[in-house]
Amino acid sequence: MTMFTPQKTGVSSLQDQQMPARITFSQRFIRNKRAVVGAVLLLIFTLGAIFAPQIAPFDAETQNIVDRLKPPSSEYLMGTDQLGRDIFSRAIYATRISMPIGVFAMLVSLTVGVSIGMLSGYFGGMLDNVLMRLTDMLLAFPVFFLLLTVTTLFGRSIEVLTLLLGFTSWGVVARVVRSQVLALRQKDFIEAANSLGASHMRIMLQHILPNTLPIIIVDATLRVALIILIEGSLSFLGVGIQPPTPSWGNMVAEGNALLRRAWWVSVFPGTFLFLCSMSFNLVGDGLRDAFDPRFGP
Amino acid sequence: MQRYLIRRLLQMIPVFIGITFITFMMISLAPGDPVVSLYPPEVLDRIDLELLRDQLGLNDPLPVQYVRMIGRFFTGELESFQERRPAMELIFDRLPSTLLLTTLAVIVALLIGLPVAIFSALKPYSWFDNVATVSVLTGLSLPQFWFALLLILIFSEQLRILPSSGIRPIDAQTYEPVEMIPYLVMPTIVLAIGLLPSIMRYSRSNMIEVLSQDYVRTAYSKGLTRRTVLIRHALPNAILPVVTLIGVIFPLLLGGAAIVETIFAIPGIGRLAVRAAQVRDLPVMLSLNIFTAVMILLSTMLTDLLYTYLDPRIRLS
Repeated sequence: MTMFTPQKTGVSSLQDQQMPARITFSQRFIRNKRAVVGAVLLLIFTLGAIFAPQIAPFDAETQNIVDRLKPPSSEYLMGTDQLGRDIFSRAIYATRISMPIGVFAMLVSLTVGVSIGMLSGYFGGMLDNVLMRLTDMLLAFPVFFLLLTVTTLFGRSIEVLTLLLGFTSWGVVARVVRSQVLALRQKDFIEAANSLGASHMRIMLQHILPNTLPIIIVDATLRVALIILIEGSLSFLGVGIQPPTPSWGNMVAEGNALLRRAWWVSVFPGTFLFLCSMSFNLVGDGLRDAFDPRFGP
Repeated sequence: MQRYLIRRLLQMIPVFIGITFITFMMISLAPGDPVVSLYPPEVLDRIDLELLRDQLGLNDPLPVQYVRMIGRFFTGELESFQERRPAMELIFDRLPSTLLLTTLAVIVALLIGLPVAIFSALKPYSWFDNVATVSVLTGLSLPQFWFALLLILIFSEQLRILPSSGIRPIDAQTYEPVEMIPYLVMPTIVLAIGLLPSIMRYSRSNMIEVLSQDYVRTAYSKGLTRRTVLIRHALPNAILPVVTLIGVIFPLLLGGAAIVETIFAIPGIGRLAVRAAQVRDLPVMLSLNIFTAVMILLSTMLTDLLYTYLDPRIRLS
């Protein structure tokens, strides 16, 4: 028995050597309790969004005036709203609205931000100047006021809202990517690729982009959390997702006037929004620690 | 110093032009007739749209229109169609309430955030630091509007110790500062919580970095007590850069103000913006965008200046 043990550890340490980065990365992530909690929450929300019709006990839009403003019970887990709709079911269906908006707006923001940061940092000079002044402008805009304005001008459909949220939130990514690219551009391997005749496009996509991925992935995750919150705020103020389409923000707004009579109408949808945003923040924070061994336990 | 100031102001010009240009383009590109959106519906059926378009110069080339809009912004001719008053007048009426609220929030956030961040930094990954990190993440994820409603539910509806609305404008004749304190408690807390995560994160990483600096090690090796090293050597250098955050959190504050002022019925520019958006009062929204953008630019410049004043190591260049 003892004779075989050394051989076994020998094998596993060989595996460690073969792909050390991956093992330590996922190990670091899994060892972080907060990150695991976030990942589990995120999984629950994702499954909830996909299987909403199977999970939700009631339809999201069917009204039942007889059962209006019923407090939480075994039939209506989180009570009913003013039109007798089941709040639990509506909150689950709202996951299908808010999460995709957050993810797709993040993708828009990332595409714009990474492209601008990459071009700016890689080519420098005049282009850098123009693009960075553009970024300054975006960052100088009071983004929430800007969103109030553009949603008023361009309409409040889900597609438009997603694009607007994406196009107004790429400033920080652009700056971060640019500074990363500036540092990477000096590295020998870029010089090597350059002297081997690789095109600018190839160097940017094959050599620089992979090295900026950790920062991009972390930013993307945290950004989804932020965008979901902003969408919630806009919908709460009545300039985001319009009822009867359920969104956590507009559900909280519906309960605003009923706070004294029916606290559950506001409290539960807000909890969903809070937990969903929290799950992305926990995962993003865990990813940041896992990517960067200097931080984290 | 003077030359630096002038150059910074000159640098603001292209950014300002850009901001007004983008605002203008948004309006021009937006679907729908600008005449329709610039005038209240009840006026529309009584007037000749084509004539109006001519009079407003909407048939002129875009550059001409752009210059005219800027002119109207500066002369204060952009009028709110809701209140039939210059938009800038509405903004200046409501500015004091917002400034009071945001200043209070910044002070509260600094008073809570700085000490907590510094204790966290002294023992990174201790239980205290872990609790602080979770609080930061919680604060980041907390929907401000929902948190505000929870506070109202608990403190106004259940305990009945704080009023949920009823604050008066600062310049009102019936304004009694002491009487207004209870009205400001919940709005300030909600707004401050929106700022805490960035303040705590930033000061914590600053402090950790400062503690690893050579001059701190030198101070220890000179035999100074931990207390002296921390208070005299580390703290000032860790806290100073937080000044630069003020410029960053300004946009955050305005977004928070829009929500908080709406919920607690505070007559500030945030509520004005929400109201204008709800009723499509475009002149007001335009003016608010330009005005707040300029405020953000100025505050960024002021924080830079303040920082160079507080930390002589930074050279103006």
